Amino acid sequence: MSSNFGDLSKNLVPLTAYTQIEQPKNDGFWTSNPIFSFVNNVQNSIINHRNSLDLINPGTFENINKEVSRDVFLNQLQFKGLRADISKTFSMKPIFQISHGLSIGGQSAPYSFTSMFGSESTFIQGTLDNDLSLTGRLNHAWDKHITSKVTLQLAQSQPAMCQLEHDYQSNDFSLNLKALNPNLLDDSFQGVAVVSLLQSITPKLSLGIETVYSALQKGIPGDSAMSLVGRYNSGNWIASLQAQGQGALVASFWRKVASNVEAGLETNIQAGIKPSMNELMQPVYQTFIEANTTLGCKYEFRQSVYRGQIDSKGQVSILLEHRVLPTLGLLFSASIDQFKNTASVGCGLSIEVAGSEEILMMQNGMIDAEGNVIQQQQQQQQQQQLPQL
Amino acid sequence: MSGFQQAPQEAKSSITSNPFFSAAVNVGLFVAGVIFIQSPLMDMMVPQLQ
Repeated sequence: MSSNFGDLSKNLVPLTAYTQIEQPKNDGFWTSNPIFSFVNNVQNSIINHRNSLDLINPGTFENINKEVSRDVFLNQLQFKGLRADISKTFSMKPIFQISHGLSIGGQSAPYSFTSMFGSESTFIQGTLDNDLSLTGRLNHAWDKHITSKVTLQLAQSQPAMCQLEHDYQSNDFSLNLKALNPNLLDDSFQGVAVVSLLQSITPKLSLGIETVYSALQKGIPGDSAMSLVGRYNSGNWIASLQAQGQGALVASFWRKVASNVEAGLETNIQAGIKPSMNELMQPVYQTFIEANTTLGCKYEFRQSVYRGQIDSKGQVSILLEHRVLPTLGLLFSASIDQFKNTASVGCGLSIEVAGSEEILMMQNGMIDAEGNVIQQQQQQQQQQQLPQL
Repeated sequence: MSGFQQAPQEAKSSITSNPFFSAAVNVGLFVAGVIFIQSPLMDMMVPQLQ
């Protein structure tokens, strides 16, 4: 599912928002005086010039290296212990699904209940686990350019977290406003505020800037940091570089080697200052630089997805996903740290139950989301697109 | 004689303890990784199942 979303972001085409420019009427007040006439002419010439560049939407700032960190690497998918997910789909349009998650020996909660609703413009998801920790997400798309998001997290013995987010995606830039636990009732702002902008410079190159303002405690002046990013998309390979305000430098490289094989590489260099003791046992501050490089690969087949990665700190990880039946999937995750001599193994099972006969036929590929019967030839064509394994 | 043996070890440890050493090594690994991913070796790792 995530790979499909990734493909969407890679194949974005120019939107036609700026192609139809409304020419101002010559007899209006806003164009008859010389000042506004000059401003309108400058605005129109800028819009015309931007249209002539054939720029595309560069994607969002947080997804600057999504192809590597989320699609190829398995850090966010890795788990240990035993896991089982049982989900039931009641409706497909709009989609409504509930799922029960069971886990033993891992870091996730032993039991969690998730409910999800999604329509064309709204997406709502809530998760409640046996520790009564609640996580909620609400996304609403006002139109194809503007999206608002709310994320809530309530957990025992932890402070509540609320994040408000607003996205604006134009045809050649993306603007994102984010506020984490904002408090505007006091004299000064408290919380974390983030503003990020990613702008396409050429059809292949995009540059971005992000500013973070953090004021977590009352009476203490807030901190601010700025990050700069660059991304070059050359069709079958993508390179990105991030210079983060906290002293980190992240470089990534992704290539689509074949239709079913992707490779990714990421180097993370973190510089900072840490307190230590000198020879006279006096506290001093010492500069440190930590770096790590990870190389990963993803093989995607008709019924299986294989991911593997190795990093410069000696950690080797794999994740295998195999769909035995349209409603039954198996997961295997393993990781070994060669330097620390530690290892972890995880096995998982996912079962999807249909809430109606129509959804069951859809899960088996007999009908599409509109309820139309899929012909046998179409099924064969779909199966031939990916090699069998 | 022992001085001749210790001098290279001190030089080696001073290089590896330099905070920029790990950064330089990982920049080198990144360059090597890009060359590897773009090389025909990576193309040869594509499975031919059909």
